Amino acid sequence: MPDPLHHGLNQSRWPKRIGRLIDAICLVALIAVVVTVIYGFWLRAIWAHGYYLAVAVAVLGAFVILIGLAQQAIAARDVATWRDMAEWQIRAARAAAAERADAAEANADDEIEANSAAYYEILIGTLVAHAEQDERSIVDER
Amino acid sequence: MSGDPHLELGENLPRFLSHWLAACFGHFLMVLLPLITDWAHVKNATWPSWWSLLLFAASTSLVAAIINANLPVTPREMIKSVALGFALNATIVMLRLA
Repeated sequence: MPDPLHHGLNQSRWPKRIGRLIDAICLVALIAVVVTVIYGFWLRAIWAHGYYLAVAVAVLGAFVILIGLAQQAIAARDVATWRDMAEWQIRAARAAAAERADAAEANADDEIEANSAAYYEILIGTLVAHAEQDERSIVDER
Repeated sequence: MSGDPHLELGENLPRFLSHWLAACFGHFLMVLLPLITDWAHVKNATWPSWWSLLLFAASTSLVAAIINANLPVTPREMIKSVALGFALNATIVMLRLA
């Protein structure tokens, strides 16, 4: 299986702040392009009345683009939140599992790149193991 | 290690559609900029009907969308689609004039 990191875009060496700045500048440029196009269609529509439909289509397209951008940003934020929670869970599970030894398995995902398929497999395995352990300890207590 | 799937390559339909729309806007920009910068001279020029302009933009932008369909939907990548749509239209205009 090819390493997803070598196919992704996330190997940036630039600081995150510069990336965010470039994103903001590009968003401004994108909005400028969209507004210019709608304005141009509007100018054209003054002379040829059929072009009002083109204006409508352009406005619709602009809305779709903006909604798409916002939706992607929200999805990315949700994934990041979920990953934070999962990593917290892993840390807790690992601390609990450390008592039961099996050091090789406990340290295995240190070497695995976050976000690869194997990472999530081990994550789920750890969570399942943790849940089973909890269940067993509850039964033991009774 | 950011590990953000939002920044990973991979084709899917929402990405394709977003980049297709962005490329269409680039195409329109190439068509409409002369109108904005040189309003007095172009206003009486013969223009294609609005629907043929839209269909033309949609069809040429398909090329841009196919090329860029694996890029994430971020402003930074959308600008690239806009530029590609603009460039494709410019290429067509140049070839017709030549």
